[in-house]
Amino acid sequence: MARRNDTLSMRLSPFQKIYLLLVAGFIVGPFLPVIVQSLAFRWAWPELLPGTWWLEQREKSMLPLAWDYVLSPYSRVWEATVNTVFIGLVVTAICLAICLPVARLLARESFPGKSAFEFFLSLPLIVPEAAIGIALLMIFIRLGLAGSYAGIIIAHLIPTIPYMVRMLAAVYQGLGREFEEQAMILGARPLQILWRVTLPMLLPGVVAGALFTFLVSTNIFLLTFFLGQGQVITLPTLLFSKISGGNLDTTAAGITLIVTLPGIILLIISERFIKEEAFGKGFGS
Amino acid sequence: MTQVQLNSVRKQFGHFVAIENLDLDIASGELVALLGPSGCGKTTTLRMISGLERPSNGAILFDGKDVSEQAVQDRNVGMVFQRFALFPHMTVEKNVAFGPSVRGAPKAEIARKLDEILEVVQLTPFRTRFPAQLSGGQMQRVAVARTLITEPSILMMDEPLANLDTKLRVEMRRFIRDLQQQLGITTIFVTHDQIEAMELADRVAVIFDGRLAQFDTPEHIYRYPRSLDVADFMGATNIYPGRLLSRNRVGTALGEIACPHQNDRSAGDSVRVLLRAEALDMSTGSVESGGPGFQGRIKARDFFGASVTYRVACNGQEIDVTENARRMRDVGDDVRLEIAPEQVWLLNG
Repeated sequence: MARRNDTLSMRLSPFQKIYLLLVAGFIVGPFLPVIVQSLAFRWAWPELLPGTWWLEQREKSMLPLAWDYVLSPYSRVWEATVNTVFIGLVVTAICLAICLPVARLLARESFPGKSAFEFFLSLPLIVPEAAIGIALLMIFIRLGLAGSYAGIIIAHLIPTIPYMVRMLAAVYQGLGREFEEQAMILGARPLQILWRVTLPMLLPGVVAGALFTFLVSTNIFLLTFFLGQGQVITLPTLLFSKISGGNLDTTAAGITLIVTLPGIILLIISERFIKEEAFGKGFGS
Repeated sequence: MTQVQLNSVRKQFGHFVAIENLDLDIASGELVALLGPSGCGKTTTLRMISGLERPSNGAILFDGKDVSEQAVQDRNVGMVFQRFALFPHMTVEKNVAFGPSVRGAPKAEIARKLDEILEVVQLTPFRTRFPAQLSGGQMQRVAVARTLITEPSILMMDEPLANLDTKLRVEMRRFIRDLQQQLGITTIFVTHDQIEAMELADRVAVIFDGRLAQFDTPEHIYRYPRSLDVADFMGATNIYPGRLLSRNRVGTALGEIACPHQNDRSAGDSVRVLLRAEALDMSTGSVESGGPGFQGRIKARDFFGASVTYRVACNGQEIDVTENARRMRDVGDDVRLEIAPEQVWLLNG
């Protein structure tokens, strides 16, 4: 480890190191105050670090204040986490099911209006989320979908489908027809081809797309807030209700950290999955 | 052992006619090449035989049974793609076992067949490797093994030697030939390279613009092409317009040439005379007046290792002559050219 660091620092120029540190700062920076806050007992302006740490007051509270609150049933963190993960998973699954055939079409076939279709694919990302949210709310109230899981899931598909289609179309373009044709000639039926050839070969793209969709879904606040109607709470809406007062107290810091957990866990799983499962041991037999 | 028959097969994509009324009879156990320039419809023909495309009209018969409407999976054919199409996420073993595995063969039987076929293609030491870790020749052998393990009634190959370097080509050519003869499996392959077709095939089907131009043994196609296009595609260079003086004598700009007796033509017919470059005899010295042969002078020389091709100026024409490279002549030498009558071939003018 030490040797690797040595060679690294020898090969990099000061400028390269500064850029790396800058990016690292942007990535890790936002976490630091939140982690510090979650472990503070009292942290008032203008102190640079908490005036009183939890550790000094541990006889008054078993856990850091933030975690004591987060882990208690009053916080509804558990409910929000389950909702967030459930909605994220369902959105990802539906998104994949819709986008796989569409991506295949875009990558392999030509049809009238194809370029227009591709051009307008990103439209939902351009329209402000608030506008989509309000419009959907009007419709969903009439349909009785407001405040339901179904309503939120449908709303989450709007910003996620454009990303997913693009990602999958790109990987489909790299997958020639001949692999599926070869599988057919060898006697494989359509489902066997999908399961044993197409999906494993698309796996890096599918995993990346699914991961991205899940993360976007778990981070959507406005659409969930409008369409959840306070009846379905997720981590982002719970966090918003905590910080809408304008101050980031220790409990909000705790929730913030919880919000990042599903994403981090997923990131680790997918990283291992892509490396070991798909190209190390083989897949689908 | 399957006999393949195409009955006036036609294939149209939109307004584009890829194949026009193709009739082809391939005998059981035969090794046939579909030869033609790219875009001539030869790959489409192969894809129709395999079932990846359906003919727009006409029928494809295996052993007299119409399979035109049969799904690919039910035809029991094998195809080796040009770029091998090995599944990159599977090891050699998994690739080869794919066919029997999706067909639901018992595990023990798959394992036995796998060992057997890997031995045949000499890939046993590489069985746990991934395709990315193999050389071109090994990849092709995996592709062949993966196809043969399903015991197809017809083996098809798309440009089987195109992706290999010269040394490997010779090796793979022998390998494919030996295997094909050992198994007696009807084999059809597609190529745009006339050398590859001649090296490998029992019979060659030359296809131009979706039509069958000639279907014959390599030797016949090379020596006795039926049309100017075929002659040109097979690499013939010395083709001269001429007129029959009698049934076995033809007049050209080079001079008068004796030719085989023409039963179907008569004196006065305009023809094209094909003189193959390696059939011409070249000697030093000059033609005695009234003697056979033409006088010429060497203008250029191309050295190919085993052979040399000279460009000879002769009575205002240019003619290519290929000789064994044991003896080299020099540019500027005066030479005498002769050709035996049986080596002369006439095409319709």
